[in-house]
Amino acid sequence: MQHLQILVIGASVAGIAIAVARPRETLVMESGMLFGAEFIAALQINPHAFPSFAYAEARALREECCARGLLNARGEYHMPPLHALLARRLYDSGAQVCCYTRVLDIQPLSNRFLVTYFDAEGTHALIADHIVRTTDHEAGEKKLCAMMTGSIPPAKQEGSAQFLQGFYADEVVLKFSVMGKTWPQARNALHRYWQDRYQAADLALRMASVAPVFAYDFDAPIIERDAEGQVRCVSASFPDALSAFEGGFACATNLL
Amino acid sequence: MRYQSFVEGKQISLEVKPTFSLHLDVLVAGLGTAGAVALCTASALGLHVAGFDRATGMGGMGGMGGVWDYYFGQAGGVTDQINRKCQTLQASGAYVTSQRRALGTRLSYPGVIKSYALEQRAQEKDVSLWYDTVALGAYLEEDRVVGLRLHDGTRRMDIAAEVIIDATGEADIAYLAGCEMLPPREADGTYQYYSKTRSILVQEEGEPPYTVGAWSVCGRMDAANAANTTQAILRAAIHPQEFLHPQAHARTIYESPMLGMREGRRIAPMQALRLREETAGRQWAQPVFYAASHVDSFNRDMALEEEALQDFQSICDLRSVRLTVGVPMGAMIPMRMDGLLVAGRCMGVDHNLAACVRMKYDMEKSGEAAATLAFIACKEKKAPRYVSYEKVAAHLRKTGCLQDTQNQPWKDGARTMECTRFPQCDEEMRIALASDFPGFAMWTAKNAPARWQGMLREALADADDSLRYRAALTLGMMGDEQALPVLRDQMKRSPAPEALYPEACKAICLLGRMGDVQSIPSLMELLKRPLPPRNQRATEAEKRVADHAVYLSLEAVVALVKIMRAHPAHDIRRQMCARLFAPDFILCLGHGDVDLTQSVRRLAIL
Repeated sequence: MQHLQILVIGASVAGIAIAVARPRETLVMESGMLFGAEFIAALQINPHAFPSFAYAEARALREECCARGLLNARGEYHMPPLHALLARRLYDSGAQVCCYTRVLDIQPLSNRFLVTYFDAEGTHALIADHIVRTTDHEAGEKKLCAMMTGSIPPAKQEGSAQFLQGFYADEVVLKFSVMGKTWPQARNALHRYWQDRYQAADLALRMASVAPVFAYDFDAPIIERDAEGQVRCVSASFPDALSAFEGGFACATNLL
Repeated sequence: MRYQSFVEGKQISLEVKPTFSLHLDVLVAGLGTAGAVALCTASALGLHVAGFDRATGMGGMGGMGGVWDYYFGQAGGVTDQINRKCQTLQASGAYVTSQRRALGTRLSYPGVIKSYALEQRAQEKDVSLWYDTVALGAYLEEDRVVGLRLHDGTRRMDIAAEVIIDATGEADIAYLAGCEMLPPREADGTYQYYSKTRSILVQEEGEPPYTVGAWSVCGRMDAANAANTTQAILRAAIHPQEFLHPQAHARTIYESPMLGMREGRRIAPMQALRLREETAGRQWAQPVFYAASHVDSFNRDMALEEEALQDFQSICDLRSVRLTVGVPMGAMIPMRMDGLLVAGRCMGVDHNLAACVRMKYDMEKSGEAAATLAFIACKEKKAPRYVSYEKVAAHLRKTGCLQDTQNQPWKDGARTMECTRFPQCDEEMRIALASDFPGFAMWTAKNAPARWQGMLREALADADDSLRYRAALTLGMMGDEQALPVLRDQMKRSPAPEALYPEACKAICLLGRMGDVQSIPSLMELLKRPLPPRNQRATEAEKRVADHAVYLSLEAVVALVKIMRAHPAHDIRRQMCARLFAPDFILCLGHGDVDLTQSVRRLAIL
């Protein structure tokens, strides 16, 4: 049975940072095929001024984002190209990665964990000394976002809906609260809202895509070790992708 | 009852007594292009139905996947009703359109609209949709699939169904159940190319903003191999295209959560569709719909393809020809397995034709056909294989899924889609072979050697170079050694700079196939030529010239291997390997993203 030191669940931004920080010991398991999906695919943009970063790798990522025209001084991102920048870092780190792989079960043993997982070749088991869960979203407020193009409406907050200015002048993200809803319910609520809203006032705004993953808003970042000894470094709990990258490094340095 | 699954890569089978939490008429596995329509059809026919998918929405590549201009295939069936809903949503103005002047009358709906329309349609009846869900194992009674164990990210569910429709694209359910599969490409066990896909927002002067699906061809992958899949995903994510500086007027707005697969595992069916049996204008046995498309031509390492595809795409140069293929009911029914149907890419279509029978309309129709067959099977309490074709066809004719008028002759897409004649007499054959488009004539003659061989041999002495050369190629496809002198001569032709594929490759391919020992020195000379280095900033013209050298080297290696196999006394393996294993021998296409070096080295030493 495979034995490894660190199993990171989720190729989230924080998960990738942990792999980059500790490449030789780490295996990243990702249930899908997108990297940093909790920000990039989820269209989770929270424009705000960036703090100074303690880790050189986070500073380098921020500089590359700026140099490539994905991030401006106001903290507004153009998200999709960030995917390749994260993938490149993960690839170059040499850490093991398993995409389309889902964890079915984790059993605590003495000082380590027995993990059952499922991939294209069936069910497998491995032993891990450390587990880092980066995609525990239960404590967050569930949102479904849509990429819009046009002019942001004068009323930016309206019931469950919030309009956020994106990186480009005509880039707007509609963020819609969908707490407790399944995918069909959430999508239905979003589309209904938007169709009604569009008809009610002839907005110069169109819906271009709906995120294939939910976004989650948290009150504060979660980096902790739970009672069973598993580490939780919830990537989506950070205010933005770069802070999550910094958070992953902090987790790798302080908790592993 | 048996429970079959894979543990540590090995199939296990356990005797079990499960408690199913739900008993359905039909369970649809995979809600992509085919599965979504299967679910909508089964639901509309009044069946108790549910569906699941690994993704978080419906529609697959044309919905969640970011590629939606791919409206090849032929319209008709339940899809038309769904598309009308898309049309209404698009016309509302609330969504960014994908329709634009360049498309003309061709229809296109953005994924955001298509996946929503499908989900709305599915939910008109009481249908359960499980997203982010995979099948861990299959329950079988004798040779009948009766249920699946699913995992939705948090819990396991055991679900029973009278019929399961496998529309997973990779035949995941058929594989779990132990069904036999059709093989991938014989030379190296690989499938057709896959792509990384995304959606781009475009703003052009004089047009409202619109979205287009875009894709980058990334190489070959085997989705059934976990490590290979991850490598393919990473390779796709760092494709040079991904690092282009974003532009305000043409920017990525959506990274697709799935890869664009052209081919994957396919079942060995009751009735397989194969390119080598394909003949224009034939009467198809028990068609449930007519698929229509060209054979995708991204597979540029043609030297490693099977002979049927080499003949069709390379030697006859029929890349731009739109075929019509009558997909038989039997292509959806696995051999020796009841309770299971397949729809979409995992139907029983061979590797060569898999690059043709995969278009959006066609896959949607396959979903409708599978659901209709399942409906009649449930109603009559029969295994699908025993359902009368006439009853299924009658249903499908009513909805327009099956339209006999869609059994069209081949059309040449590069030549304004005009129907092209197949030569009927020697004079017509001579004219066609000497023309700018000899492919139809060559294919016709290849498939009827007894009728045409004599005439072609006479043409080898003709003064017209084109006629002589095409006659030699056609005879070469028949394996006629009289063609060898002309082919040896043609092997030395320099590629035209603007050509996609060097003409000499055709001759080399046939010389190898016929085991021509006399060609060995010329082939070795070709192989020893230096390969141009790959440059990420190369222009298209520079890239094409570099690709020509790669095609010729690849073709030469394959030909030499074939000659050695036919004539073991002529063992030139040592000389070949000295070249193939030299550090400067790097056989890459494009910007260096398709690396064939290892494939040819393996070929030479095995």
